[in-house]
Amino acid sequence: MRRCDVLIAGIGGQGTITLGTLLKLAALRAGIEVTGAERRGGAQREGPVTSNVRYRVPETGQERAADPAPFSGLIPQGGAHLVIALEPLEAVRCLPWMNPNTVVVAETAVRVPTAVRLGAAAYPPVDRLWAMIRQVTPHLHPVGLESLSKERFGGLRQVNVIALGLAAAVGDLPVDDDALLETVRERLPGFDANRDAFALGRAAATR
Amino acid sequence: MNPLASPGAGTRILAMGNEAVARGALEAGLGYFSTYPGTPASEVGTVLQGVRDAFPSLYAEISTNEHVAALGALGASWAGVRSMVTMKHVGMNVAAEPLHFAGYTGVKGGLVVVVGADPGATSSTGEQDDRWYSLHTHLPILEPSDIQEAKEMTCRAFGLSETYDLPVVVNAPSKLCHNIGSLTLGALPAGPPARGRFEPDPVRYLNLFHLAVENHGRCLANLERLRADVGRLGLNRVRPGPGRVGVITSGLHYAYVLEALEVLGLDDVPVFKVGLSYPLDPHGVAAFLGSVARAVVVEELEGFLEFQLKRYAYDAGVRTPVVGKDLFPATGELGIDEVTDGLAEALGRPVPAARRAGADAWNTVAGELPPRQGAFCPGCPHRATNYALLRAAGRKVVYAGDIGCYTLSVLPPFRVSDWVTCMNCGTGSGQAIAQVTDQSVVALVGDSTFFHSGVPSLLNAVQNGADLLLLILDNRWVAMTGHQPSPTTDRLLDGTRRRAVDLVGVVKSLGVGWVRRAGAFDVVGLENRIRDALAQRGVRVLVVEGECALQSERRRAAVPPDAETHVAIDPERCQRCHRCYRDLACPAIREEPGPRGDDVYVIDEALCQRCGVCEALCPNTAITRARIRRRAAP
Ligand SMILES: Cc1ncc(C[n+]2csc(CCOP(=O)(O)OP(=O)(O)O)c2C)c(N)n1
Ligand code: SF4
Ligand code: SF4
Repeated sequence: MRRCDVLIAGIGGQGTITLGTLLKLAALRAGIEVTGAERRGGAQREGPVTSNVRYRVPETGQERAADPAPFSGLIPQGGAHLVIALEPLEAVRCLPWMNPNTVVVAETAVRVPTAVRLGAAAYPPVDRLWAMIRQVTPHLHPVGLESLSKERFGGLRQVNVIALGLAAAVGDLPVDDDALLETVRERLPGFDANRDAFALGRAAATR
Repeated sequence: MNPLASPGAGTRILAMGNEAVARGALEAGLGYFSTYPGTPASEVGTVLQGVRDAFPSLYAEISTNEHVAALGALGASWAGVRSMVTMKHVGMNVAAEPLHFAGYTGVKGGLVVVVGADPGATSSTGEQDDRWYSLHTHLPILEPSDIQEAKEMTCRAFGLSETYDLPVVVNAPSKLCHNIGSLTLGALPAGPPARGRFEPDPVRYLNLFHLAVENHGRCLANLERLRADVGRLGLNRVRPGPGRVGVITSGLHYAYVLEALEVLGLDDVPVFKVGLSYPLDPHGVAAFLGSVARAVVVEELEGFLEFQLKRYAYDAGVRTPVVGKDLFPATGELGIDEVTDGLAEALGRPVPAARRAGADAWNTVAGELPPRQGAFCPGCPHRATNYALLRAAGRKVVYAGDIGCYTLSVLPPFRVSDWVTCMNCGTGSGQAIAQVTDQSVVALVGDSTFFHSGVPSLLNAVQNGADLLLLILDNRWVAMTGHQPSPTTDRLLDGTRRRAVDLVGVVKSLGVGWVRRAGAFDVVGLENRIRDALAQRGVRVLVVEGECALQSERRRAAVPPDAETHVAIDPERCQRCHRCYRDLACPAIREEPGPRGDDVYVIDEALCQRCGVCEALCPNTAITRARIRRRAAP
């Protein structure tokens, strides 16, 4: 049984949960067991949101057990294979789930919390944030997802699909591009732009 | 078609715990559903409202509050219809009165009460464990351990309810309600549920004097019948192992325990999985305890399983040492890592060091990171109201806030809520503070909370002559819990009109002398209205109108308007007075390095909702809006 645990983190309104749902639906399409809990903020924006995506892939030839042992919705600390963070600070908040082999994909654009806006706290330099992550894992891929999306598509709508392409390129996911793209086609409007966005994310990995 | 309505038994779909509960009820032939929304359980209602086309004989309502919802489900059950009521944990307090009678009257159609628990209070004002209610309501409790079980147990609960003549509770914590994973569907019933028919049954339903005492007795007898049968129902199970230390656990924690044992490299630990946590199986737990040298109870909050099982062990003369609440805290959420740490300690097996690298690094840097809290969405009417209120009333008044999205007004920069407890806490306690002090009290309440429990308190304030200004923040939706329609919803997302309650009329009918309405986005006009109100005495109600920005954004996406609006800050005019950036604190306004090297404020149009509030409040007319008509399609 191969496992793959993906932790997604962002702030309310960025589509963290949608991204998790896409990764899970792709698994269903590929016949892979999947589960994972979410920490939702309120209905409002700006609070931290996380989504756990946990895959269990049967080894080739292995049948799906009739009564598989339940696997929990939470990734244990130190257990994430891949972290997708839609904001730098939120990437660092995922540290407890990282280990030296964890691959981290992170947005570089900062969303300033209210405390910083009011002058009550400071936002550390982004390079300092990356150094915190590199203390644990060297496999960090910081990419300006929002600016790529604004540049190419004139808005933020494609950010998550760009992130998905990037994750597919570096994350060693058990779901392949076809399953991911088919899921995107089924769930999100504007497939032509999304296919480009996915390719853009994939290409960003090698830049 | 919504996959949750799919007839395909055996089909695998992706579902949330809440959706699995809803599907389980549909597979059981649900006929009546009522709820008052509340995180984490809200989506059960969203699903059942959404599938009514596929199940035309299903009655599904969003009730005024949990008390009404529970009474409704009980009535439908008496009429022989399988019924379900869902609520969040604290909703049980509001539903408690009817639910204390449900065991007395018993059920006709199976009656299932779904409770969404919130250990850790991640979206609540409390983390009470509703399982303790069953010690006096006597309602049996099922605790599913994963999404699949959430469906199976909910489906089965209806039959158990009918067999034992008691409503059955399904208790699901937020980490199960909001767990999304694969679910295998079962079969739907062949035909729609039959119409109900109410047959009077004076012995059961008329709880007067000695009849109430008899019904109490029958309730206890039903419970004893179930207690005697539990061992045969297959709801609990033992995962055997030769180890001398055994673990007893229930619900989600079963999965956490199995995974923790794997992390610790222990495969010999016997585990007793409780599926029915009230009543516990006395013989089952005593036998398990008797088979081990020591037992660890893994459960969240204040130790409901431990409390019961120690009694049964005592009765059976079993003296196996049991650790539970002396190992695991009685507060907060007990997640996979807390379970792993606790079992590591109890079983003398350390957590592998490799697992710790990230957590250790985190501990050294956490202090450098600014906290992040939620904030009103860009364009939220509540942000505008808070801004105007603070300008008009300042910091000298008592702010009687309440529960809803507007609870965020407790946070900086506004801090206009002096307490938050239960729904209606603002008007309810504020009117009394006004009676016993010389302070000016301003209460806030949302439209849904007002109808849920605010009406009697406002009437009380009128009848007793309190000095109170109440702002009813009518954003047209129950926003906090995922945008269910509220009594004041007048337009759905596809643009269709809906008949809404006349809120101002309701308030007037309660005898309030001073009632006005104001638009939230006209912050200057709103500020003046609030000043007018503060100059008066007695009960005053200002209805502040402005639709939830998320919902109007969704409607615009569904029905695009024919013009585009652009908003910008002119750096030449901006004097950096900070009113928009700090006092209003709209997240769409950002600070960026400007062309001359100094910082400037800019509006991120990708986030901006064009509410116009920053433009209205800017004292330097630095914020401009331009409307550009879209060219008509050729
Ligand atoms: C007894 C109880 N039931 C349900 C909830 C969940 N809940 C919190 S606020 C609220 C209503 C929010 O609607 P409204 O008052 O209109 O404010 P809005 O969020 O729209 O601003 C609900 C349902 C609760 N906290 N307590
Ligand atoms: S969801 Fe609606 S009411 Fe709640 S903060 Fe956002 S805009 Fe305001
Ligand atoms: S118009 Fe101003 S206050 Fe309103 S959402 Fe846009 S930036 Fe924020």
